[in-house]
Amino acid sequence: MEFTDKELLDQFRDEQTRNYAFNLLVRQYQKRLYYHIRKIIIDHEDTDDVLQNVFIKVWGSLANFKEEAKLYTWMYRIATNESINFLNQKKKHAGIPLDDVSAFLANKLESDSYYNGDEIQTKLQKAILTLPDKQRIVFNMKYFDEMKYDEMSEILETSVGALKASYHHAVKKIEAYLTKD
Amino acid sequence: MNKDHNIQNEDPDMEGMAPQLSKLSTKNPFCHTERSRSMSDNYFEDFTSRLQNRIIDIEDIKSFAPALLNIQKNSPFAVPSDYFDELPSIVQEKIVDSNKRTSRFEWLTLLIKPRFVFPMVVTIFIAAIGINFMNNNAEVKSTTATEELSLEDHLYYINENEIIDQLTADASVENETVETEDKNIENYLLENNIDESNLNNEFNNTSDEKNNI
Repeated sequence: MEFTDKELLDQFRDEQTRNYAFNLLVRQYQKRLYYHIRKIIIDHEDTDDVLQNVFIKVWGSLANFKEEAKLYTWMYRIATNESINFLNQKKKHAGIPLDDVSAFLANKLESDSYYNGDEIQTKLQKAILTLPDKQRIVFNMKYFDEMKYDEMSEILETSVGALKASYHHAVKKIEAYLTKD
Repeated sequence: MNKDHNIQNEDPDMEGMAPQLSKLSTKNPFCHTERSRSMSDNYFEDFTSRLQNRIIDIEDIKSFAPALLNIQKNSPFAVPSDYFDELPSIVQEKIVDSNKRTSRFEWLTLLIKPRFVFPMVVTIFIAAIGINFMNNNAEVKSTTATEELSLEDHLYYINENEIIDQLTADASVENETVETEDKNIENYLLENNIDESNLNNEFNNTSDEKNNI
């Protein structure tokens, strides 16, 4: 059973029911946020870390949430930013050149024990990993999550036009990767 | 639709064909509360636009990415069993831990709040002056005591005989000095052939003349 933003926030703002409301919120959004993060970060353990950090941030800021956007949009934005920050930190600490990230993440893909894609799915994932981070996020949100451009615009703070262009370029690049020998 | 409406009213033959079924209400079980009714209304409101968007996306991809369209969209990413069942309690535990750490740190951050900074600075300043003053007094007293003690220690450790010897030595030095001077005068008189008795007579005559004046 899903609760509306208002129901969750009202219960959260009451000290008596705060923990219960937060528990409901985590259960309601954990899968969507998990897979969004996982498609960016690839590795399950890293995704788990980032997801927990996202929820801890949500807990800290939810009392001051202004309801200017939907709760899910707001949490999705936090998850996106945390994922990008995590990747940047990983690159810095591992000394990976910025243009060599796709190889690094592709290795993670194949070595991750919680990956069960077939050959063609693996090829698609590797194709997606050749995209720049933000374009990869746009493609995943549009192609896999089937989000509307308006919603994506709110989450990524990018214009709808830019998102459409980015998505189309991403699709062409992936197609080229899939069809090359 | 009337809540109590049932199939029997619509189809009188139903009772013969399916008597139990005909007695059931045709009320929609998926839309029986106010809340679920409002959600279903919203669902249908934007269903059309969502469907149209989906069709456009598919048509776009079909035109310039046919290979992509042939790949199934199911996620290749797996999770450990019970991961999502356990995650909410793991997150709650982390929040409790972070709250504990925050409360320990909170009293420290209170000190840097503006209303506490000024009194704290004044208190530290006064304490510093007081400590400095007490330190200075302690040094002076200990110096005087040290001097007195040293004097006593000196007197205690000095041998009286040494004092006597020293005083006698001084006296003998004085005597030696007088003797030396006398010898010098005698040597002078001898070298210059001056008779001592003539010198005395001359001195006496001079004194009488002064007295007569």
